[in-house]
Amino acid sequence: MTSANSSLGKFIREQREITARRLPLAALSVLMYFLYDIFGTAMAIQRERASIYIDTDDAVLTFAARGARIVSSWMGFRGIGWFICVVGAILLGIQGFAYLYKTSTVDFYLSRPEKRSTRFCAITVNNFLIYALPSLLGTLLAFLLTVLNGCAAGWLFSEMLLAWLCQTVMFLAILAMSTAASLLTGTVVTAVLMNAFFFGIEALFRLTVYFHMSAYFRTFDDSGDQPIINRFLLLPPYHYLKSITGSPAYSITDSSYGYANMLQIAKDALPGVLFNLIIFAVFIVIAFYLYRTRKAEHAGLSVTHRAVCVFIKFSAAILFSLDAGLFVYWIFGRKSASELVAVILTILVTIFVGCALLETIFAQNIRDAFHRFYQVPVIAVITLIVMFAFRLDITGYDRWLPDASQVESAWLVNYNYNLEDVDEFGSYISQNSLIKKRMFLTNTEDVRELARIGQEMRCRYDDNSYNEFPDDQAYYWNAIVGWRMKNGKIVTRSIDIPENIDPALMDRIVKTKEFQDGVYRLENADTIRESAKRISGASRFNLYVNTEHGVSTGSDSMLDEFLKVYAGDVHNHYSFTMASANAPVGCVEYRVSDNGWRNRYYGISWPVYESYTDTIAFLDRNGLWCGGFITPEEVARVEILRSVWDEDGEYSENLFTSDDTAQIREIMDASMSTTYTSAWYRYGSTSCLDESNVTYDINVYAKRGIIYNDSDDDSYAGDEACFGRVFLNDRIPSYVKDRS
Amino acid sequence: MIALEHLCKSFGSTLAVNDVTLNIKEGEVFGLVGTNGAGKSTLLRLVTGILSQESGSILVDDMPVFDNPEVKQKIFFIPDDAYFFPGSTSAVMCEYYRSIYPDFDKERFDHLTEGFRLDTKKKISEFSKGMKKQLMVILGICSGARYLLCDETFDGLDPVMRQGVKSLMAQDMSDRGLVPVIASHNLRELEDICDHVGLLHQGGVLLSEDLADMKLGLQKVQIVFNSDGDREEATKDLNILLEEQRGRLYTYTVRGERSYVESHFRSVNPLFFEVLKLSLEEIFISETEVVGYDIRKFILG
Repeated sequence: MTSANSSLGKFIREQREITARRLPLAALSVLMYFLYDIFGTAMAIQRERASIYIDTDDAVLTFAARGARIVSSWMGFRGIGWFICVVGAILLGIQGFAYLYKTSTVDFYLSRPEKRSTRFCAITVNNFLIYALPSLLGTLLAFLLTVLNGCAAGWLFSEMLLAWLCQTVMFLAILAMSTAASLLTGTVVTAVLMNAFFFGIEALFRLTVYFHMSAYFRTFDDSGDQPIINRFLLLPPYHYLKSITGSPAYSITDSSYGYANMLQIAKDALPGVLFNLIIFAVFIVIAFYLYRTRKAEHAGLSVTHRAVCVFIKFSAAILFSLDAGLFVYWIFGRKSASELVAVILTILVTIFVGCALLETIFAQNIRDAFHRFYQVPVIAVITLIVMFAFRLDITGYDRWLPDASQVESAWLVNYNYNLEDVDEFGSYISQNSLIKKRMFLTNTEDVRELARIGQEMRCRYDDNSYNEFPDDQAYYWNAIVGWRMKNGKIVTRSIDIPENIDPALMDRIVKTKEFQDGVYRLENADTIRESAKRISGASRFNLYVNTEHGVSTGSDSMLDEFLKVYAGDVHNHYSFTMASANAPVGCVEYRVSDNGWRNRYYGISWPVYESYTDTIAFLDRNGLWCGGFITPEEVARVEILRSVWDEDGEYSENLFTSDDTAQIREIMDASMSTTYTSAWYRYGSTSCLDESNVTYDINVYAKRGIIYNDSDDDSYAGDEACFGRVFLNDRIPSYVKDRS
Repeated sequence: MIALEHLCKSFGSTLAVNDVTLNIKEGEVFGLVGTNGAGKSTLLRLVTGILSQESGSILVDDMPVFDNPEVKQKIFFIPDDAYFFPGSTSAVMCEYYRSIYPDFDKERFDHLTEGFRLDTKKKISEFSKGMKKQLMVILGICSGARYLLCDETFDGLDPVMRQGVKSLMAQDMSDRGLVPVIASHNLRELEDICDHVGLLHQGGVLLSEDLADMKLGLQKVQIVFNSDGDREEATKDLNILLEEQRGRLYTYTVRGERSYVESHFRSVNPLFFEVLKLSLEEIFISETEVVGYDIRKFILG
């Protein structure tokens, strides 16, 4: 007991003594958390109290619920208090061991009769306490404030504490990194720079590689799901934010947010928290080692270890000069001889200046700017090799095709599908993610052949003379092909599928059940309903049938039967050959609405082709089918628009308008509807971009009374519904061209 | 006892301490002399455990000092440029050292600061250089540490304070066996306090010997001979280290027992004869010249 008391007493005395020497930082910590936690929470509650009469949308909610919600967004996982942690951890990491930067303080502290390990632990604990005590106290007081305002909720208290815990782990990770960085230096200025290096070098490296791949590799898929920028191992705030903001429940901000959502965010935050714990463990060991082996004479040096200087110099000079070169490439916009010269010169100048700057910092003397000048050409050679490796695609990135035996499955995304879905918490997910999750093509030889053709097509720019754009304006479908390798790796390539692709090859892919199930929601209706219900505020679910003849509203109960019939039609009739030659005649949508019949931002769409006879019959049987495309007889007039492309861009003009029945019929016969999305349809107008760089668009205006509408969709309001069409290949009437 | 054996320490390409072997015994005041850059401060910082040696050993009471709190508790280091907490007072520093040194004597601190007229409520930053040195000595004395390592501590103290500090040390030496180790480049400063002196030059030890032994074996005399023949007769069998002449007055520094040297000179019945007290400086000049160094170049500048 006595011993424990004595140890505790000694600990408290020691911490008080250390804190006394760091009063400005401790005071700053208290001030920041007072302002953020207490003052900020009070302001947020006050604002909510004042706005209850104004915000009619949420008037149904009590002030208590609204108050809890606003405090949750301020003090919970959505709060920005993490930023104080980041700044605080870096400041404390630098300041904690700053006494090692001056001989007088080094002598003072290192002559103390205490083990180095004891002092290291004492300072690290003190760093933690300076952050943790004010922040935890602030959190508790903020909750007390919430209680006093009658806005308390159990889940809110849990969320505030869990958010604090996650931030605290992030703080520890940053603190450990900052301490390690600071212990590699001998002055405050270089400690700050070393911190910037520690926290920035990995991101700089990854972004440099990413942008070089994006700039120089034609088949690079820059849709954002690239592993190279998908994780930043040495960036604790990234782990914290990614795991929390990546949680599906994070996007739920309305009154439905509660304990389950909060718990879900906390669960989803766990990987980030664990990763930050690992960072903390690794870097605190490194920091301890650096402290134990640090020599007193390192005080005043810029960087304590020569090897670190060399590493910093090489990595920073190479990455910054590469980025500078890339920036010049972007300015030129395309590869050329003069661009190459400019890029190389930029790289060399950046290396020269960068090395001089770094040597000046290392030596803390500008006269040493050209010290170790022999390293400059070495860095220049390495940088140019790296730059040319990307530029000339030495690794064969654009030519890479997987060995089919190594592929488990593949997926293919045609951007024209415009799919959307929500995950289990109602958050929208991208088309790429959706198809990646749903499509598992096993005919990998066919996909490989398609990828080969698509990659060659995509690389045609670079293969055309000296990297000039090709003259041909052949139409293509931009797509992404993804490979799930048997070793667990995911590889994606951006490809251009040429319009003249072998239909047989495409059919071998598009006609597979795996492909069709991947792009169309054909599964059990209840699964779709479950997804729809996750949309915030969703209370009504309906089927809508859209054609050029109007929009009909069906009931949710029809969904089960519709899906069965539609799936049969898709599996029987959907193919590349069919879809490339025909535009859909209509589409069925499953939409989500709230009580006020306002459509929420979610709608699953199923295109209906003329060949989907069972679907059309089903819809007709249920009184939902209004007819397919409008006929020339139902058209009041057509309008021809001409778009001209020149060096300054595109401009459009109304070429002429016609209400002549014969002319309307002729124009409609020579054109196709663009009303509904069609992934593989060969649009004539694009390929009709002739040598005059002219394209044509057709607006077709329906006669009054033709359009049926029983929905709340006001896009059909008015008597003159307008539909878009484009001319088919080589079917532009001569009088249209003549008028141009 | 502090025992240094073949101690080496370098900073980059500079060899600051080169194969130093020294013993600092209990019950004596050890003086460490040398020019600026000779390695005195480095040696003290090594003994304090601030620096770690590259080779050799440092044992304080038979225990290594580096990262050893048990040993470091026996040592109090007063650097040339002492550090005090920003904005602190003597009382604050006293409290700080009390928390570190369990044997710190607070009552004595109060008594001594009063005696030295140091205002414990006044900010140390407002103290003069000498007052800061006094405060550090008082803190060191009151810490209860057995070894008091002073780096140029007497530099900046006025003669009265210097005497006061010396008295304090003397008192603690007799009371509790304090072992002061005093580094200085000023030989005159150390002369009347040190029992044993180590001379450092360019990182190495030129000499380490008891001052009393040195003085016993060296004599300085002033003499006026009756004739040159007497002078030749008197000096022919003596080991004369230095000889100066001003008119007919000769000054000799001679190695040998006092009685032996005195009898030699008196045997020629000189007109004037006197045995002078040797300064530490003169002892060093004499001793180092023997080992081939012209000490005046680096001690006296």
